[in-house]
Amino acid sequence: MDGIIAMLPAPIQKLSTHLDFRGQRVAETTYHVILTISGIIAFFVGYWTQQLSHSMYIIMASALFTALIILPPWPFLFRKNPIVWQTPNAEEKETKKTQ
Amino acid sequence: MHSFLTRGNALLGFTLWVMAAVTAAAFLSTVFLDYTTNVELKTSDIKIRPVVDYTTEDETVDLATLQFSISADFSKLFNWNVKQLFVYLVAEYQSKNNAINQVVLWDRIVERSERVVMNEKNLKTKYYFLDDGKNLIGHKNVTFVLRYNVIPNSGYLRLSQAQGQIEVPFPTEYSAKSR
Repeated sequence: MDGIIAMLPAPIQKLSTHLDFRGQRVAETTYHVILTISGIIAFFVGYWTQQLSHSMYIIMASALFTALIILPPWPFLFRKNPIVWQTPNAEEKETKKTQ
Repeated sequence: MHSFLTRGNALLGFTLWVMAAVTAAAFLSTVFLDYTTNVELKTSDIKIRPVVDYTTEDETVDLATLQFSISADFSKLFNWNVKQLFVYLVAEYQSKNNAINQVVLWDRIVERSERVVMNEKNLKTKYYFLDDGKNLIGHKNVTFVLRYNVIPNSGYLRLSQAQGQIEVPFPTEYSAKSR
């Protein structure tokens, strides 16, 4: 997969897709909840219409919908709690120089 | 979950998991249903010929030809977990050497639709009704049974049998001489 990514043009490679840690938990809960509920709905719809294909289409459609929500790193959903890094000490710089 | 690809992977994996769960639930919702039906079978024009076969000690074996009619309603067998039926006609009889002989004479694939009624008159057999000896001539009780496999979307391949088997006595004389 890394090889395929390396073949992509540079502007696309530079796109940042990371989520912060809380965002990752939110994204995971989101797809668990949406897909589980859609699975339950899909079962009853399929049972009602007596077509298993209707169930499968409902699950696939809700998977696409969930992909729209969780795949892009929406800043207002998944990047609200960024990690605050400490600034490097001046001493550390000096020790590096000596080595 | 940190990058685009790991999120896509997790989502795809869970989607397939949900599909599998719904499919298994579809199987569980249909496994205890009644898959039997009634059939009206009729046979006509039964003829028995001696056929030369040097692989047996008798040197001729009995070949039966017949026509049959099937009247059955398969509509209630179909539900959301049934793809199609494989219907086949079996002749069963007892002979001197074998407690049970089963010969498949005819089969047909029945696909799902709103109303599935089979009403066939004077069908000919698709496969030879050939005995391994001279047991068909004058046989008192040859039983014709309509059986079918229920081919599901998920679950196991069910084998069922239509109610309405018939017992037919076979003619006592050959319809043609051996050649």
